[in-house]
Amino acid sequence: MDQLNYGRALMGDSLGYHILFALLGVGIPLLISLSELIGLIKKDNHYYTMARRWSFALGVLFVVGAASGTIISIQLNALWPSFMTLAGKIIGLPFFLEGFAFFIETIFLGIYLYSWDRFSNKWTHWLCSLPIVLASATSAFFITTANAWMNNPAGFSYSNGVVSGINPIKAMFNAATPTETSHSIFAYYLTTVLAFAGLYAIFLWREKLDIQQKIYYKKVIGMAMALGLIFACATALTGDFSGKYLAKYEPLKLAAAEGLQQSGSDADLSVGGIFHRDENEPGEKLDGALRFPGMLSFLATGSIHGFVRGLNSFDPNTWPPLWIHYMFDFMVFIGIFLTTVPLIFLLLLWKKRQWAFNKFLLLLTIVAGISGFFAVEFGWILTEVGRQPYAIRGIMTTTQAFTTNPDVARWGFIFPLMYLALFIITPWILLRYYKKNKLDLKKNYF
Amino acid sequence: MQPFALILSSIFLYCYIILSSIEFGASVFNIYPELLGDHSKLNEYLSPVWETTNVFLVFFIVGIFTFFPGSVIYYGTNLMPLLFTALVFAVLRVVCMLLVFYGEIQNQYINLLFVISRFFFPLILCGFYFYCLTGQLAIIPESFLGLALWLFAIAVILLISATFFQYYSGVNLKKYIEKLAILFTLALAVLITALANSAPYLFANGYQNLLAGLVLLISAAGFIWIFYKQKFLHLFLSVCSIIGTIFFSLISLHLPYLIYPNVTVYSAFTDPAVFKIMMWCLPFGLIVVAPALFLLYSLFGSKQSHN
Repeated sequence: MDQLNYGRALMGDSLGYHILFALLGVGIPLLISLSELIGLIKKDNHYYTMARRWSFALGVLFVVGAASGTIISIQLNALWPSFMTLAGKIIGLPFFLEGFAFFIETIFLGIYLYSWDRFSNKWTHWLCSLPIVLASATSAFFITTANAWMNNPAGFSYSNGVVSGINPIKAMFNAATPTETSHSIFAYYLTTVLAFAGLYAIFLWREKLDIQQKIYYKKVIGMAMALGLIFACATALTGDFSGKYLAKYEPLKLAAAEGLQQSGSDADLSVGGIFHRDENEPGEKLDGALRFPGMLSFLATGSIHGFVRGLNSFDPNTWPPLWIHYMFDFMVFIGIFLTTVPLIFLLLLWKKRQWAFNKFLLLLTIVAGISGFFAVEFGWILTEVGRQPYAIRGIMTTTQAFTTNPDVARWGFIFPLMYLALFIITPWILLRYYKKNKLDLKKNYF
Repeated sequence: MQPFALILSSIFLYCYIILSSIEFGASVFNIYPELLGDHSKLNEYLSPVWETTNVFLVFFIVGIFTFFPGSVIYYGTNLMPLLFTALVFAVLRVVCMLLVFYGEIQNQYINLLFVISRFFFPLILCGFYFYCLTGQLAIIPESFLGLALWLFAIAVILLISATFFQYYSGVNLKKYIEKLAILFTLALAVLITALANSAPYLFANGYQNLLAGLVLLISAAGFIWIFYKQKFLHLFLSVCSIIGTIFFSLISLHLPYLIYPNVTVYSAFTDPAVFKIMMWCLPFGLIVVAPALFLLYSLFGSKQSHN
């Protein structure tokens, strides 16, 4: 593997891991905070217990997430120094602000985790969760604006390698920011709550449970599913906006994601299919895909007769790898699945309560809990690989951004090792803790 | 404006040095908990507070590359092996912290690894400073200056942690602090000699030297006086101020260079428009962070808060 691809692999590896920790770090605070709130309002011991128990996991995941975030920030500087030199000038502001958000998150996490019994008024403790929820979401927002800027660089003029007329606010709030930040943050929430539903579905699966435990597990699943449906709808809606954004600002990425060869109106939506090389045309052609007439035009422009640009209106040298089409399909497919499962569950809960917790639906819930993480990863691969060959679209290629230090391959091996260590130790510590501290519903906090 | 930006990010590095040295002390006590008498005190100090330690370092890194993006191409390209080595120790620290405080595992090997990670990370940071001074990379020092930096860093870590735990836990470390103070003075003398030898451009400005020397002298006198008065909070604070004086003197003496001789704070500086907006955001950020930090430290950090 050459240096550049090695660097790419390292960065992809680090981000791939970091996203998992980061999304839980964004999602769990909200879930815990809501759970504690419901517990306090209804004086319900179960919800309160759940928040209490999960605060430990939040602490562990936050520590690991912070560590992997530090790795990423160092790696960005060390592997892509040219990129950081240019980008730091224009998009430094959100990084700077993220520092403050991170600070707030850390401080209140410390308070939250260690002060369950410290305040005489339980509401004071709950109030400490709000800064964590806000700060984790704003952290994600700030960092994602930087990525949005890479997709849609704005707020400066660039000619012959010289940057001028920088407007950091415009750079931060570029056209990609609203859709990308909202879509990803809602997706993190969705993934987290469904992962919880999935996990508690596994617990509920076991036969030997006393009645209290059953009620507890069902309550958690119910709450997670209700939140899941809300976030699934929000993710789908912002996903739709993202499609429209892509059609307008990044048509090449959309064309590649859809495997659309020819520009035109009434464009079909292709699902699946196999790429094969055509002698007469550049690139590869998508064959055997399921086609929905006019649907792509509809998704991209809001009208089934809308005009969508295909790959042929762009220079083949600037095409991203066409396999991102599959990433797109997987992401959308999982997204639909993640909307359906909570919907069915809630309908059953409403109409036929005794069927809501049947084994088949529990199994689907478990699958949904796992597949959410895949959808997030696919989404990120789509947006990152879909921007290739550029690091900053239209401004700087990934090759130009890469370090000139020839030692990347010699030092790079430590990163997968570090992540492997974190990936083994984190679940081990969590399992150990929860095995030691078994669920005890007899303990009443009210 | 540019020197101010450097000092601003350095404040975070300074806080990090103090906090991480305390953490080093804590990691040593974790091996010999019986020294402290009451072990719960140590955990209580460490548990929530330590999570903020690293944020100061992250803030310093963010400060450098957002205020001085022009320097990233040098740091990133040339310092890559150093940064990666530092990361290994940083991750090792996190792993140990997880095992010791979240996993509640009392294993002497893990405690030892924890001490090692806390000890070597600052030494690796010395390599960063060495690069700023000379423009050369050295993970393991081979030159006189590099060794002097390590010696000084070791003295700093030990002195800060000893005085802090003398104050915080009330363990009698006075004999030890006496010896450390002598070591520290020697290390400082060696460091200044080494700097005068290898980086004479630092001492080009006589007036600044005089001022720094004066403040240092007063702090040292204060240290000795407080030591014999046995006011250990003041002792700890005086150590912090001595180290702060040296730290900020060295940084301001190094101005205008960021990395000698190629990069200055002016050449690497970000766009003034960006800096202006950051400075507008700064007070708002601090208004939120400072009271919160105060709340955290008063809830957990201070001695009085034991239930």
